[in-house]
Amino acid sequence: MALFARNSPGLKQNRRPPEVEAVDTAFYVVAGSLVLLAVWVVATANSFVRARNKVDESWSGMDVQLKRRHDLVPNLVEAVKGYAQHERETLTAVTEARGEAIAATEPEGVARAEAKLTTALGGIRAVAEQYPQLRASENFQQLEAQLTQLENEIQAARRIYNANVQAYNTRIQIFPNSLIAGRSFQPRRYFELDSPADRAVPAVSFS
Amino acid sequence: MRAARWAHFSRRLHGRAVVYGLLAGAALGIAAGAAWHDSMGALAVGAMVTLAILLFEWKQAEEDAEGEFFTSFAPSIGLDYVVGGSVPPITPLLSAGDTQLCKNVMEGPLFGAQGGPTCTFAQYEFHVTQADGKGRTQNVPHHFTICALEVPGALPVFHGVFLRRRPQIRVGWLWDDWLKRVHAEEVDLESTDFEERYELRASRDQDRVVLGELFSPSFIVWLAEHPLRPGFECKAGELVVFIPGHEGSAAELTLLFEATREITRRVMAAVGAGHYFSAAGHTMR
Repeated sequence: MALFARNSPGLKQNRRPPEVEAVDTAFYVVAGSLVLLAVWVVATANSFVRARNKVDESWSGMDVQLKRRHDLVPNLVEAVKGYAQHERETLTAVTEARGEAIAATEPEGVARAEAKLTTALGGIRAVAEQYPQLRASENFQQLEAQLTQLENEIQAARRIYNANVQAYNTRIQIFPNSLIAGRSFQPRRYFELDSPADRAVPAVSFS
Repeated sequence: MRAARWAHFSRRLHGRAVVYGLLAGAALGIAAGAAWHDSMGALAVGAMVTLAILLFEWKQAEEDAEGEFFTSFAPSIGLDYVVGGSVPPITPLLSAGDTQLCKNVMEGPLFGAQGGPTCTFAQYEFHVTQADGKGRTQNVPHHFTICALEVPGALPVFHGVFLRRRPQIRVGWLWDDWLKRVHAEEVDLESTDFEERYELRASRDQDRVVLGELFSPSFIVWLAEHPLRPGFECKAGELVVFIPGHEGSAAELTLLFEATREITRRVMAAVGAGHYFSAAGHTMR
């Protein structure tokens, strides 16, 4: 009976006017758009969080490598001290630079302190050149090899960090993502070396 | 290799076998035409026999060219070309699918004159037999170029590390997830570039400290920037480095071989660290 009733001409009389149907359609379109917008906002905000976590994660990775280098420095200083007691100035500079590097917390400060430590360690290498016995020492050779390996790891970790920062900054700065990022997601700074030795362009002479 | 294939094909076309085959095809065509009283049927039989001979010869020329290429290529990287062979089905890739096959196999020490573990460099494929609802089966091949070797001391340290290119498409008959039967968890590393390119999984009992030693920042950067994007699996002492597809270019094969050397060096260094942690009483979990 219900089926007959549904198909009966009387049903047509119960149909809502076209204006009401148009309002209904508009409501569904607006509601659907709002739901899609909400989904997009949530997904975008989550992607910001993921990208920011990657930046923090890569900073921790670099921190591990830097700490390893800090731990190696006292051994290196001790090894040099045994052979080159007169190079107190260089060794003090390394020890001070290490202290500053350990104390640094902000990325900019860490970059400055690490660049200073790198320069100071370069001084130790220069000292070693003047002492053949030190250079020939197996302990010093091992420590220097470890230091070189650690410096390679630090370079690689720095590249990973900077790549992550670039990806994160791009993500939060492009439009319309920047509307969602607002003030909650601030751009991060790159970890750049300030060491003049790293920036120096080698002079090539063809004469 | 393409030029060599054409040269072999051209040479084979001038051979006696092809002439006799074509004559036999012509005779068969005439006989079929006489039997059916149909000149078009005779032409069709003749054309089919000719086509079959050409296809057969093309396939043979391809095999000859491959053999010639690998015979001259293998010594350039310090290996011997042994044509056929097999690799132990230890890692998930090497035991994937229903059947496995190796061709153009080269063997020898990984580090040439310096020695090192013996490696098997080969074109590998596994076949998956798929059945449709009507009782018919379809054999789907999946091709890879691999370099497999046993890493000394890796057995107790690496319980299961699986790295592969991050698949773009995970559906359809062309994709077979050979890691789906492995109880391995996805591991996140700190590099966004690496994550975009690779999928890293490790077995649940894999020591994460040793894994961290292996995937050092320099190794992550090296992998993320490598033009071949090689994957590798390390399980039960076996290491297999691979790229998808049957690679036939000398430059790419050399690059893959060099990548295998570098990955092996890294794994061996991590194995050393693993034994150090083990001796220091670190729990291998």
